[in-house]
Amino acid sequence: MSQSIIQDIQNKLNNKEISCVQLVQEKIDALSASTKNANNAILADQALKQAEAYDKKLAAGGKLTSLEGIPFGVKDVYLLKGTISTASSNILKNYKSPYTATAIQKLIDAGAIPVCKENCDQFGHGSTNENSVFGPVKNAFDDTKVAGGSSGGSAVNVAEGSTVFSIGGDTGGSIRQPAGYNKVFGLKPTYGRISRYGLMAYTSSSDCVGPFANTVKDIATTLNVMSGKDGKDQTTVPSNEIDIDSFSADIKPGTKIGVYKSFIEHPSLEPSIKAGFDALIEKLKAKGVEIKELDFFDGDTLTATYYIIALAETASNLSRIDGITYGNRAMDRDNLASTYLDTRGEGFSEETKRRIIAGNQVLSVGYSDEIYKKALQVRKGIEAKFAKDFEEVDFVLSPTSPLLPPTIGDSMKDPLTMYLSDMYTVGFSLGGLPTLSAPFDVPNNVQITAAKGKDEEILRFAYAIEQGLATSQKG
Amino acid sequence: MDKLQQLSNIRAEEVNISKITDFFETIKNVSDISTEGAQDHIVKSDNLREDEVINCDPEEKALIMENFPAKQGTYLVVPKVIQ
Repeated sequence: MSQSIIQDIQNKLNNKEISCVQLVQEKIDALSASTKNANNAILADQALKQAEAYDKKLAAGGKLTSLEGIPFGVKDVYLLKGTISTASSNILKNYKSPYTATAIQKLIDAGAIPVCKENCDQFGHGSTNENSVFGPVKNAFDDTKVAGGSSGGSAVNVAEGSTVFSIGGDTGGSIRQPAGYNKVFGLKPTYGRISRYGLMAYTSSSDCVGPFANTVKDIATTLNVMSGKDGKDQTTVPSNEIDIDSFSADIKPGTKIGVYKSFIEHPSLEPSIKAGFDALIEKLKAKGVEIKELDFFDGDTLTATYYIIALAETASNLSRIDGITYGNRAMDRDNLASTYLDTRGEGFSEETKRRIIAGNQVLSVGYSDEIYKKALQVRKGIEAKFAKDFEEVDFVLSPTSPLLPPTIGDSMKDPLTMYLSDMYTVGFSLGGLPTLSAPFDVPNNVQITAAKGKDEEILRFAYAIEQGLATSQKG
Repeated sequence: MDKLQQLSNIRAEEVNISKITDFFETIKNVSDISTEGAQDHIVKSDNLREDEVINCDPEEKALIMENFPAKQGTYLVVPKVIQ
């Protein structure tokens, strides 16, 4: 298995085994030919123009470095100047980005070439990628199953090799769960490690920018480029560059792993997922890793806490989208109130409307203290429990989802089941912790979580498993 | 019209939020929460940058204008506010 697909491709470009234009054209052809409905737009003209510039550099005797010449995908909730950015919604179906998100600009500045805007759940509202005005994204391995969400298009493109890496967004599991359903790596970094400027806000207190890729080193490479404090996002924190060259195939001696009993004993956990997870734990034990069972909040409490906070924040964040200064406006209404009601009524999907309306209920008199503030208090309790747990263990391992990918159409009939399928991902989001969804042994991937700021430690541990321990779960 | 729809500025007769409100009961029933040792993961606003006037890039300005939903010549058309 390749250690870094980014490096392999760049070596081919530098050795002139393939031109950058050929490479980008291959990816555009693959994206165009795909039947997975993973893309809202393909950026052929501008991508080929950028590729020509790198071919000129090579022809002049230059060498490509960093991410120069590498094609990548962008979830359609990021602004990319001059391109249509829809958030998979009707209301923004014609919205043209006036500027570029910080994380995406950093990748472009490092030489990466955006080739597509990827289908996703509308404004991140979903776990199956069916809540899209462009229709559902199909799973990379089974056309009848969902891709997962909300960053489903990004996961599928990476799984199919149509992009070398893709940038998703993770609020409550929207990178990790589709990474699991499509058997690729997906990282939700520590909250604040990557700027959210230019990412359409869903739940500002847990929205994270993160990469999908096919190797741990490619995740680390893209993370290094995107990380750092940004004056345009007050919540960003400084971070050190990860020394990727020093990654080792050996697990660090004395590594301690925590496993949450409430997760692995949950009655809705699919038996094949549990069996795969148990097998991975046994392999780690055989390598000398100490395993410790830990008590934790139950999945229902985690899901309720997350959704109450997420609904409140999305109701607030999306109140700015009203068709007055941008977005599709309902024209010729009798009065201002009807213009707002119809613009937003026609512009948002049923699921997005449900979340906004429920969010306003959460924030209204009579509910704010009893529901919203209580959820904030429980969140503090969850953060306190994480702080205690990571004094005892280095990592917590868990399945990514209790369920195998559902059949397309089933989840929209039963949103509650969809919400509860997030029970293993939302807790780590509430804590702002770094978590990697990795395609090791477990159907739907295993999650590796560490204390805040320990993103590098997760990637080092995952690299050791990738190189020496894991069985590929592709397909 | 439903008060929540008015509060949300959304006409949405078909939307049912009863499944979500099940979460309210769950959260009400959570007890014995220990918050000792919790670290706020949201950065505190004690490191603000100075206010700075930056002229909008002309290309960005043009894109903002292009996104405006209704125009008449060089005028931007907004809904009537005063009846």
